[in-house]
Amino acid sequence: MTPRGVTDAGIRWTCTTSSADQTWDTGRVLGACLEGGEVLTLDGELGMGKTRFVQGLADGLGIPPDHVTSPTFAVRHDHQGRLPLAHLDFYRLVDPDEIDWLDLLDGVPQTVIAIEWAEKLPTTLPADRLSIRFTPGPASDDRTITWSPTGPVAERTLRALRARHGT
Amino acid sequence: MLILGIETSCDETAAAVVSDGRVIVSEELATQSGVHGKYGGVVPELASRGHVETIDRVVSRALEKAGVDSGAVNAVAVTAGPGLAGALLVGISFAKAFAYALGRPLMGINHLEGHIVAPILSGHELRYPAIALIVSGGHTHLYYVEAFGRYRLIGRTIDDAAGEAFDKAASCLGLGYPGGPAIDHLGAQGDSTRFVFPRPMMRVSPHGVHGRFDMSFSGLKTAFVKAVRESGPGNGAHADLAAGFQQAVVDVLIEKTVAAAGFYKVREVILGGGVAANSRLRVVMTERAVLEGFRVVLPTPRHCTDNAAMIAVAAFHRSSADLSSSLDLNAEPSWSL
Repeated sequence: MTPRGVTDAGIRWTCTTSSADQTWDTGRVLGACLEGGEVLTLDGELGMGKTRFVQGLADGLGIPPDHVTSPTFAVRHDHQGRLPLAHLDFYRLVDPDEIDWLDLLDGVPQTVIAIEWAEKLPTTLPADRLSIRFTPGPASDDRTITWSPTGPVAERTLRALRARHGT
Repeated sequence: MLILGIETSCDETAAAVVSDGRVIVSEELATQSGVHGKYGGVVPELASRGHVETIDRVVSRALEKAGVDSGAVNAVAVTAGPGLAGALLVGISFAKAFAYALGRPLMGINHLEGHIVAPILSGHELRYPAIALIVSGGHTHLYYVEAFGRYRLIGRTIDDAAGEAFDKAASCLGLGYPGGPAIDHLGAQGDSTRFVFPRPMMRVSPHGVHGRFDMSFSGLKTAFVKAVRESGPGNGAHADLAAGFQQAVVDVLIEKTVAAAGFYKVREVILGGGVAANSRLRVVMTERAVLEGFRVVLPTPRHCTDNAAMIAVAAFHRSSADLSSSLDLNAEPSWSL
């Protein structure tokens, strides 16, 4: 299931999924493209499918997707697949110092870091990251996903992803 | 036998002195949620730094209130996991130093085992085998408990924890933190039949990667957010929305627990975790227990939420099995029971 995609003028890319399963699948395709060390931020209102997307992402990394649950309370869940995945959630964080205090962004260089609600603490984020934003789409179950890279690693990831989707 | 229990796995800094594994001599708790509740809808800041600032005072107060000298403590028990690594380490480091200074044994306790034995604090004897439903902001786990110390995880949430769903639903309605009591209170005034929300996986037979006792609350959250948006401005429908939401969560938890009790042919069901303080869940589970012929064992609401007394209780039962930890005890953030 390839989501319908449109190309922006810039490097940004937007696609639309029409079900939670398709959002999952989009995550899975991204997971298969990753080479290690990528930082992904996932933002959007409650119920937009961010955790669902990460379950797909985990599947694409060879991690059993049923191991992936919402990290809202634990703040960080670690998984080991083809690459290590750190699944974070900043929903409950208020103080940027907690990031250092809790060693939240630590990991081996190959660790893929996926952060839900990242924009709650924008100043703490690594410079090179792929921002993935979920907004309501045209129909009720549709989700518009906007991908914006902010550095060379993220741009490489997005190019690989678009190649997989044939755009 | 006096055990000092220490709990810092999440947002609460707690200490308690418990006698003979069942009688609370003293309890002390420092929490952030009261501070944030009054701002309405604000999610509490993580209190990991707060643990460092308060633990010394919390433990001293617990000992003072117990009216005992620290030398009278026979063992020190501390939550070693699961939880937030940085938060767990504060309690563990403190407990190690304390145990070493007193020359008393140190015991690392699993937080979830603490929740399972919490009803003992209300005078209940636990009869095994049992089904235990531990349901909170971070956990939604169903265990088959063969005996004390012998647990099999038979079901869990595949996405959001039930308590997390309560908190997010409450924030959606602009209610304060913690969300569980806020929804409980508002829902009591509402009509739970006006909005009927999905109960994902409630009656699903085993298929794919999910077991028959697994649960899901993410789809319910999405449906709830949509219903709140469509109900328009103003809060006229909020009580009914809260009631409908609460009923959906309660129905899923109860159906899964009853099914598990039937499948494993047990006559004892233990509830624990913050969501076990929900009044609707307590009432409906108690009613169902009568119909289904099992006994439901509930901690008092204050011992449903995180506390240190339950850690001391678990330690007492472990100590009879000679399970003390050495001073190289470490935090185990993902420790499964």
